[in-house]
Amino acid sequence: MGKTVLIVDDSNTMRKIVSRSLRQAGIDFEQILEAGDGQEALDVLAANKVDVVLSDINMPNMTGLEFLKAKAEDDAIKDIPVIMISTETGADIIDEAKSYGAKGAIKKPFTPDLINETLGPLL
Amino acid sequence: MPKHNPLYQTMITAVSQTLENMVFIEVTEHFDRSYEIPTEDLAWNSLLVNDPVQGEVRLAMAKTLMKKLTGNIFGIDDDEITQAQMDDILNELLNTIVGLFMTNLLAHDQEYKMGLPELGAGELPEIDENTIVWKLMTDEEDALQIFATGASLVALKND
Repeated sequence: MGKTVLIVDDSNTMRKIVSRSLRQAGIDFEQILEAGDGQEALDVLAANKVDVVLSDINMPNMTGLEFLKAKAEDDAIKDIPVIMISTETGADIIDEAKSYGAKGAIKKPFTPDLINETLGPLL
Repeated sequence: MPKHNPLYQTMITAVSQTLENMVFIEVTEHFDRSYEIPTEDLAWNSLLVNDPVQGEVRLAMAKTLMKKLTGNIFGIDDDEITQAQMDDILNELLNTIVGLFMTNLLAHDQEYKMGLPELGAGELPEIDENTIVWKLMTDEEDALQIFATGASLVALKND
């Protein structure tokens, strides 16, 4: 059965770039869903079966870290793996994301190989 | 290929990796160092670097290139492309280029702070003695330029 990915980023352009990179990486998702911030992402997760989430950190309304915290408190969705995507360099913020359940982080600009390497074990 | 100082080479690498991985085009140094993008076809933006050094990085490209990149990313025809989409791509590219440039310039894991990209209008600001200019082009010979300005920023590994 095909997999579903949720891409969370406030930039529509970045969502399109990530989506295109997934195809370049040869990961054949049956469905690619999108959300513009953490709250929208929670709404999408509540309404759809999602296998993996790729999320930006800096977003308006609800940031990537706030999204992770809220997701961790919801038994229905807390086990869905999340990979953070960001230009952030600080080890602190990545460690904080991991403490809220993020399974890893990809730094922009990412190569198709890096996407494969990071997402592969989660699918 | 001429040998460049580390700062110069770091920027070329940042631009190449960003454009190759985000919009799937290859970038090399422009064969004509005197080439300037005509003002009527110029799109540019800028981003401040605030810490641990201070400076500004500007990305300039031909509007025709920006339109081409936008059409590729969104998978749409020229007449469907909006200015907002093109501006968004320019900002995402600069944000990523500067992030990669600073990461590669600074010592391992050293944190940096940068602002948000801001769109420019009209002609590019004058360059001064603390500005370094990179003149680049895509494999289809569309021009793009990068400017790094600010004494402490351009002093990083600029030896």
